[in-house]
Formats: sequence, C-alpha cells, structure tokens
Amino acid sequence: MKRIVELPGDDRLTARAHELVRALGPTPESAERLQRVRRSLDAPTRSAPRWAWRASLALALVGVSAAAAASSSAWVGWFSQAPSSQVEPAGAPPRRLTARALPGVAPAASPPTASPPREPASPAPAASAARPAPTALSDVARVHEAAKALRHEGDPERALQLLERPGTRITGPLAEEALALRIEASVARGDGRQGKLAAAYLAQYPNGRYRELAKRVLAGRQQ
Amino acid sequence: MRSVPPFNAALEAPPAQGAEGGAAAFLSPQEFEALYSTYFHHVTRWARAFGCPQPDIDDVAQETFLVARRRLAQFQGGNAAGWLYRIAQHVTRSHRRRAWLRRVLHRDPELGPTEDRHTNPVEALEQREARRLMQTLLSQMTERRRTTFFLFEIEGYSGEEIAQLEGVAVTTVYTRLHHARRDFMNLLARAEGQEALK
Repeated sequence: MKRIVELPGDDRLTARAHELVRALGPTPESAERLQRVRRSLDAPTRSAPRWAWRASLALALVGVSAAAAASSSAWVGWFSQAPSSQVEPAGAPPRRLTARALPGVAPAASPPTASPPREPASPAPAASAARPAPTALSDVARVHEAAKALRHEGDPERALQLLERPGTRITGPLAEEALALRIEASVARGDGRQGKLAAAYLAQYPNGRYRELAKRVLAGRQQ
Repeated sequence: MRSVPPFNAALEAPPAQGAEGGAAAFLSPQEFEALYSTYFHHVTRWARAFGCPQPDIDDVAQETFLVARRRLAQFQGGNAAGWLYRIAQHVTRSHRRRAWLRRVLHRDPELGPTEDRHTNPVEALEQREARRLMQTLLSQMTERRRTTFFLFEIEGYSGEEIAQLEGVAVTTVYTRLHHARRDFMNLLARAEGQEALK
C-alpha cells in the first residue's frame, strides 16, 4: 500500500493532503532528549504525595467560597438599590456573569452555573464602546490576512494597514511574525522604515526565526 | 522516510526459563538500557500518534519507561515492541486524562515537530496553519484509525510493523488504513469546501 505522499498529487485534494502530511512530518529524533529522559528515569520520583492533592482541593474550595462570599456581598448592595422591575422571574435561566458585569446589572442571587452562555438581553453601549479592540483571535486573523495580502495579492499597503492599525498592537504568539511581515511589507513598499523595523526586530528577538531577514535588511540599508 | 532503526530482533527472543520453571525476568539492567536506547524514539513517535501534545512527549516517554522498568519481572518475553507500545498507549491515555485542565488552558497544543525554523514568516504561518488543520482533521477520526493512519502516513511505519505493535493481522492494519484514509480525505474535502468522496 502506497503512502499518501507517494500517490500522484494530480487533483487538488491529494495535493493538499501531501502538504498537510508533510507539514506535520515525522517526530524529530533528538539525542539530547534521549539523554535527558534517561537521566530523569534515575531521578527520584517527583509526583506529589496524596495529601498534596487533598490540600490543593481544600485550598480551591476555600478560594471558591471566598469568591462566592465576595460576589454575594456585592449582590446585597445591589438588592438594596435595584428596582423590583429588574429582578428576573424565578424560573428564568441565570444570566452569565462576566468579568465586566457591574453590580447594577448583575442577575438574581443564584450561583453561577454551567448553563449555556446567553447574550445579554439589552446591549450596554458604554461597555461596548470601552471594549478593548483586539483579542488574540483577531490578532491571528490580522496576521493571516496581512500575509495573504503581501504574498498572494502583492499588496504591501494593505498588509501594513492590517498590521499597523492605529491604537492596536499585535501581541501573543504571532507578534514575531507580525513584526517580520511589517519588515517585508516595508521593503516591498519601499517606505524606508524597514531598517528601523529590522533593528527593532533584532533588539526584541536576537535569536528569532527571522533574524536572517532582519540582518539582510540592515545590511542592505548600510550599503 | 523513517530514520529510526528497526525493531531490535535480539530483544524479541523468547525469555529464558527461571529456576522455578516460570519465565525469568526477561531483561537485566543492561538489557533495559538496550531496550531504552532502541525504543526511546519509537515511544516518542507512538505517543504522538496517540495524540499526546508535543510538549508532553518527554513526560510520557519517561513515564512509559518507568512503568516498563517496574514491570520488567512481569514481562513474559516475545514482542517487546508490542509490550512497550501498550504501556505507552495506557500512559498517554492517563496522561491526557490528567492533563485536561492544561488542555483547557492551552487550547492549542500542537502535534507538530519541535523544530520550527523558517526564514520566511509567510511560510511559517502556512506551516502552522497546515498543522492546525491536520490536528483538527485527525481529532475527528476514531482513535484506532487515527493511530494507524498517523503511524503509517506520518511516522512512516510499515503495515507489518504496525501489525506487530498492535498485535493484529497485517490485513487488519490495511483495512484500518483504508478506512482511515477515506475518512481523512472526506474530512479534508469538507474542510476545503469540496464535495465528500464516496
């Protein structure tokens, strides 16, 4: 039986399967890993004793109780202020508590449960206006869009717009890629900022994956 | 495709008989060292095929050999690879159960290789995206098919080797592979927005 990568990639689906199988690739062999695990086999076992689990559980319960007590005291204040029209009927499902929930919009004093999340009945304009714009997910989407714009559409302008949206900064696991893409896009656009960006990259990620790119850009600027 | 050496035939020999007539402890400490160095890389591959996230593979390999060393006296000889494979399978399962909280916190443990050196950010992103898609597709397959598929297609084991590990007939392995590959292509077609294969 032939492997997928040995099949002719005539159609698009098989070609894509080739790509995916290759992308995952076999587990790399590492002598260093072999030695490290071998050493750890002889080390005394570091598993936590049974009482540690019980102590952790007890601590967790204390923490949960403290949190419940703190939130119930907030609800007590709300009860004293809230008009009766805001109290939900007894049969209504509990509203999800969020970190942004204020005492004034908190639901009746039922403990938070694992019920499915429900959207708030009425939007809170002030809260949505103050919401921080980029989440980790949107950062990932922006970097991907920028990469597509740069590579597949040949549009460094749009790539830079996505990566340098005013008031937002890409953080998280793709921050390094974002900076490297900005360097590439700057080079493609020829706006003269690539040297500054490359220097910033090398300062931030001296052993980064794209240091060769940054060094090339810096060397090109000096010539 | 696979760079690790094949299973060590010397370790597959039947055990010597002990003084009481039962099977003696199959492996001495020296033989355990040989078992370790022969199978360590195999165990890391198996753990990955069982769905162990990349950062936890060392832990699973360590625990597998700890269990193996503890149970040396119970090993009846014969298929050492299959014996270790089953231990690795149980260890990975229990590891995954225990690590549920970690998986919730780190939602995206990658199955990909640790070496991720690209000079090109776009290429790196595409690789990462491909690995993520692959992980999604594999997670939708049944465990048995996924493991067989992974060992054959990704890790490069032969059907005969997988049969030896799983303790089943070679034809069973190829049947599983056939179904696994069909599942994979259908899932891929669906993910790519194409019509599923018949």
